[in-house]
Amino acid sequence: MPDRQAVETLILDSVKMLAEDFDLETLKQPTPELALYGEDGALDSMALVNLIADIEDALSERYALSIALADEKAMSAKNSPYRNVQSLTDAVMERLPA
Amino acid sequence: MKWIRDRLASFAERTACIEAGREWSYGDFLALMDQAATQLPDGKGKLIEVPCEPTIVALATLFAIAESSHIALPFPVEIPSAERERRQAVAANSPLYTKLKGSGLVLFSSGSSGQPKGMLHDFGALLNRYQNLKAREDPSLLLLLVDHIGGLDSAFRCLFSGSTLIIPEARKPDAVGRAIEQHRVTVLPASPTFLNLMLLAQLPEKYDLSSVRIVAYGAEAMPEPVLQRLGEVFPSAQLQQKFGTSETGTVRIKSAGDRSLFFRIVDSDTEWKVVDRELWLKTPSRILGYIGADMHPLEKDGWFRTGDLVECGGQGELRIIGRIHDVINVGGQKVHPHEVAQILQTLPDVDAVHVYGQDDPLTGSRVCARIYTSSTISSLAWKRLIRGHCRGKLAPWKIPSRITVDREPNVTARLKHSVC
Repeated sequence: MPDRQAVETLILDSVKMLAEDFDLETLKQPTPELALYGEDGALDSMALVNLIADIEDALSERYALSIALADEKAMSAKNSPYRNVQSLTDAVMERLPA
Repeated sequence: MKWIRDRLASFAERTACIEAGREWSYGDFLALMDQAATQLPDGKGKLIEVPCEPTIVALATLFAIAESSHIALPFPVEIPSAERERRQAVAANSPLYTKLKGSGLVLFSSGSSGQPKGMLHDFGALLNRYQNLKAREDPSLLLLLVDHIGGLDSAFRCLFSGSTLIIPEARKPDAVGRAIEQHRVTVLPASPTFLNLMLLAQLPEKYDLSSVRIVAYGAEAMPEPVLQRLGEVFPSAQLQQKFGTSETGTVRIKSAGDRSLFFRIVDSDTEWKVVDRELWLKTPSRILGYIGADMHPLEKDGWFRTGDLVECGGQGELRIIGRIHDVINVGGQKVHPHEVAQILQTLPDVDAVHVYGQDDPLTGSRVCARIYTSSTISSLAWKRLIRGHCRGKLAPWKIPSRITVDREPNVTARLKHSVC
C-alpha cells in the first residue's frame, strides 16, 4: 500500500504527464499547492477528467488499486478534492482500502 | 404463399445446402418442409419455437410455418436458459397477434434497457419481397443464424435464387476460411467486425479465397481502412454494402462505387427521408409492432425511424455514420464515435478500435476507446501515443480519456463489436 508521500509523487507525475501531453505550460512543473481546478485553477473540466483517469490508471498499474476519484462523494464534498495536488492526495488516501 | 413451394420445386435437382458434411437438394428441402408441416398444431395463431440449428431444418420449419397461420419464434440453440425464458415470457402473448392475417414471425433484439425486445413481422409480407429474384448458382456462406434479419436475408436470397447455402462448421475465421476453400464459395456476407477478424487471422495467407466474387457487408458502420484492406485481399471481388433493419427487412441499395461507403436506395418498394440526420424508411414489410417495448420508432403513417445517423452526399447518396443512441454527450458537446474511431484507425499497429461512451460524474459522459493490437507496448504508452496523435485532429473533448488495450477483439453473438 502506498504512503502519503508516494501518492503525492504519483499525482505530481500524472500532472506533469498531462501537462506535457496537452501542452499546459503552467502545469509543467507542478507543486503540491498549485491550483488545479476551480478558482485560479489551470485545468478545464475536460482536462480534469483526463487527469483523474490518469491518476486512477497509475494507481492501478503501480499498486493494483482500483480507486474511483470522480464519485458521488467527491462531487458532494464541501471542499472540492480537485483544488490542488494536496487535496487530491487527501482524496486518494481516504479511499485506500483499510 | 404458394409461390414459395413452386419456386423451390423449380430448382429440385440443385443443391440447396451443405451443412455438417451433408448435401441437401431442393427436393430434400421440400421433403423437410412437408415433414415440418405435419408436426404443426391445428388451428391458427399458435407461437412455435424454432431452434436455429441445424440451419436447413430451421429454414424448412420456418417456411412450413410461413405457409400456415401460426407464428414462428426462432431462437439460437446456445442461448442461456434464463434469456430464453425471458423471451418466451415476452412473446407468449401480445395483442398484436390479432392483427395478423396469415403467419407471423417474431424476432428479438436487446432493447436499450437490456430487456428483450420482440418484433412481430407479417411473415408473408417479409417473404414476398424475395419473390422476383433472378436465378443464379452461387455457393453462399451463411454466417449469421436465422433468428436475425441478416441471417434470414442471406438464406432467403440464396434459396429463392436456387443457389447453395454453405454452413461453416463454426462461426470462426478459420472455419470460414476452410468452408470457402472447400466449397468454392462465391458470396461472402459478413459484418465489418467479422471481416476484420478474418484479416487479423491472416486467412488470405492460409486458405485459397480466390473463389469469392462478392463480399457483402452490413449491420454496422464499415471502417474505411478495413474496406481498403478488403479491396487488397479480394482484388477481383465486388465489395457490396447491404442495408436493412430488423424492423423493415433488407432494403435494396447500390454503392456509389466499389470502394465507397456512400450508397443510394434503389428499392422500388421503399420510401426514405432524412430527418435531423436520422434515416427514416417506409416499406411494405415493416413490422406490425414491438412486443415488450414501446412503439415510438414506428410512426402511425408507416414510417420507421431507423436510429441510423447518416451523412448525405450530393445526389441522394447516403452513408451510415453510426447510431443516434451511440452519440456521446460530453458536457453538452456531441461526439460521434465513428469520427474518433476513424482518426485512431490511422495509427500504426492499431488492428481494430471501438469507441464508446461511459458515464462520467464531471461531464455527464466521457469518450473511451478500446484498441486491439498485437503490439506489446504498455497501456500508458498507448494512451500518450493516442493523445499526441489526436491533438490538432480532434477537439479536446473528443480525445478519449480512457484507453483499454486488448490483444484479441471481442465480438458479440451477432458478430459485431462488443463494448466490454
